[in-house]
Amino acid sequence: MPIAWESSFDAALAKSRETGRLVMAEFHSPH
Amino acid sequence: MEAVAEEIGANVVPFRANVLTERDLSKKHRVPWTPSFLFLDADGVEHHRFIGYLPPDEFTAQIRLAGAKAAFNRGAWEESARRYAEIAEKFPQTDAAPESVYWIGVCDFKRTKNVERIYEQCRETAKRYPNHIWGKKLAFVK
Repeated sequence: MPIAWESSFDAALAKSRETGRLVMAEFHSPH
Repeated sequence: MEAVAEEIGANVVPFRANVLTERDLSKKHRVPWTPSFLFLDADGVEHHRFIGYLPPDEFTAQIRLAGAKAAFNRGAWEESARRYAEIAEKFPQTDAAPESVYWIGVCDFKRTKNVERIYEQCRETAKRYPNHIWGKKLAFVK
């Protein structure tokens, strides 16, 4: 099952508000 | 990692930020190293974080721990205790389990004002996890 990453931080917060779920923000480096 | 993907899909809203292109966001949330996983509510308030990739069981338990902490932080004692109990039961070998055993007692105390529930869970944590940092920190309770 692929992970459905939100396209932006604001979109993630909006979905969090809509669903009541926490945002899991993964901060990563491309290296 | 299929189990982790399912956990993420069912319980959190996933978002990835490249620290090189999302510099302001990384700075705002004080991310000093990657990968960092932050768990935030809809207001952007952080409830939990950890650094580094984890094996599936540990990763899943950390996601659940974030939910238990968020429930605690909003005063939902019963929900928080239920979430902590679930971690202790389903992921007893993970790093999230010892503190979960302890926080069950704190949630019960918050709800009932019975301080003995904290001591009971302190003893239980120290007994079950004597070599874990949470077991060590609570070993003073006799």
